[in-house]
Amino acid sequence: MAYYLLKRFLSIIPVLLGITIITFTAIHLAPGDPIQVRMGQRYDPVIAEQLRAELGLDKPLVVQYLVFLKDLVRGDLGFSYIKGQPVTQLLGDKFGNTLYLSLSAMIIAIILGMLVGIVAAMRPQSALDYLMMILAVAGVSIPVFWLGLMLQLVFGSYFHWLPVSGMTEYGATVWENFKHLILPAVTLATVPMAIIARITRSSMLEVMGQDYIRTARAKGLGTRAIIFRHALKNALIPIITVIGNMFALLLTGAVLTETVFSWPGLGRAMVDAIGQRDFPIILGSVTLFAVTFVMVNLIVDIIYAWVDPRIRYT
Amino acid sequence: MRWFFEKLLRHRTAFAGMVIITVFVLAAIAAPLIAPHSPIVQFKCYTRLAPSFQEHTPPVDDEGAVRIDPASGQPIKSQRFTLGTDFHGRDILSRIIHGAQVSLLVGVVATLIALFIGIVIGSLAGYFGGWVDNALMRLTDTFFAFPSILLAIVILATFQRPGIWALFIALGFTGWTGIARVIRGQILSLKEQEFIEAARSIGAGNFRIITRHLFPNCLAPIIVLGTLAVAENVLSEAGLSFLGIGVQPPTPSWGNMLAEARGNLVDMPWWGVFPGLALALTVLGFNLFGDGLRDILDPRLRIRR
Repeated sequence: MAYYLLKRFLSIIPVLLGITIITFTAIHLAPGDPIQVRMGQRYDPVIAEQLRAELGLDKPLVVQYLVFLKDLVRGDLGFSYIKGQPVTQLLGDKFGNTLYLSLSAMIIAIILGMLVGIVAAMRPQSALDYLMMILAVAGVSIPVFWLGLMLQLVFGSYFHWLPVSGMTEYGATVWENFKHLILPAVTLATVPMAIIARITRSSMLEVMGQDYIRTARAKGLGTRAIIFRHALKNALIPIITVIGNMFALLLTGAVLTETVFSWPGLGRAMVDAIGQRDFPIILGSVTLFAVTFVMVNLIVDIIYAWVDPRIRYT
Repeated sequence: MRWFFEKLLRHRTAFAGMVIITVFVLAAIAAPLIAPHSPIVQFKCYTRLAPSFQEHTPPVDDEGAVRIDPASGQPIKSQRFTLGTDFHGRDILSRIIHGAQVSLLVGVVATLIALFIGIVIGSLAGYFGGWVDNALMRLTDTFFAFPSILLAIVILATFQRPGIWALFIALGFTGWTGIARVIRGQILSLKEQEFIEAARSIGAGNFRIITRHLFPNCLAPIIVLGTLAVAENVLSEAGLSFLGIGVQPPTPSWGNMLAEARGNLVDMPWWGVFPGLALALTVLGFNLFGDGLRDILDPRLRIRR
């Protein structure tokens, strides 16, 4: 197990190197000079050269990348070109906000998705089953940002039940905070929920057809006991795999959902930084996304190995 | 071929998907013919109109005479805007119909690029094995280990003025990993079979074996994955255009229409509702069709999403 963990952990390194190299090359090949953006109307070639030297932009690309890596290892992501503050400080809160939103969405998606899947699997081919599965296909197909806009329209502008954008200021009540979270979290949860529902249904159907379930039923166990104590455990494995993959979708959806709901998160910061050519912020947010994503997959793999003892750690 | 169409007609959801796709594809191809107005002309007298089947009559001046359009010098005509107009007086229905061109073009071309890269990498890795396989699969893992739309955003950031070409590249070069994995697995299981040995024994080269003997046997998963990938690429295009880094206005795209509508949703809900409905329907069509094809062609094929 320890060997497996170590090996799995080390496999993260080439992935992170690959992602940062691609991002680094891409944004430095991009047209648009960050110095020009920053100085705007007051552009002065002499000062521009000084600034360039100060920020290390005059050095060859390879050297710049190595400097970035060296700083990254120490947890330093450099300074924003536009705001002049450390990237870690600027992105720290936003990263927290994104995690808060994605984890809330994940919890909603897992609970509701599995519930729908189990209910549909209990009576396959029934009207309820068809209805649930039609909803699941619709859920996969609905554009996240459009759903967000429609929810804003209905619950925010029409009924005035929930706030449509932003997070609460410091010191707001828990209830206020929660109200701001509902719409974005539900929006973000829709696609993963639909996928989890479909996987749960097919996985449950497969398990329910097996001999040991018939034995349990023959023994006189009730449906609830069979589902929750016997079937679900084995049906869980494909569901966990899918939940791991889902996190990629969540982070992707987060960029769009944050834009729709003006949620001060990492995805929004990244898109804004692209417009401003703020290289350190772009690199920093991509790196943070990559690290989160890779870590989540690592954790999922570990849970996977823990839930199913049949998996060998090789 | 016949059994395939018979099964397709009997598969209700696949058939529904096919109908939806056909409608949108026809609308996209015939867009200039069926759109009631130009997608970019701004009818300055007809801004912010709600959807209606009625004809809107032109404004009149104090004497009751029809105003003259300063641009053409002609009296302003009465017009019909079935799905309403936007802030600038552009016809929403026409923009949606023309937007279908952009969406489907990006969806299909990006998918073809991704399929090409995925098929080449997957079949090389599967066929040659050894270090080729190792190197190519590490590359695939690196790309797979990251949400592809974030990578697409980074690629789009390198374009001064992103447009339809930038989207082809950004989505095509990031969406191939799943395809490469499936093709590799397929080739791995096929290449040891007797018909490949037979081909080799009569002197067929590697290239011929891959293109003539292995490739045709991978068609089922390619078609299924390709159809589902179109759905995903149409969604991604809309999302990226919504963020302002995809198709740029005034070229109509469902994504940038929604971005423009976003700030006016309360006053003009129709501006945001209809483009989104068109988008959701198209994606639903490709998903239904793709799922149906999977049932028909290869029930065992499961993809990770």
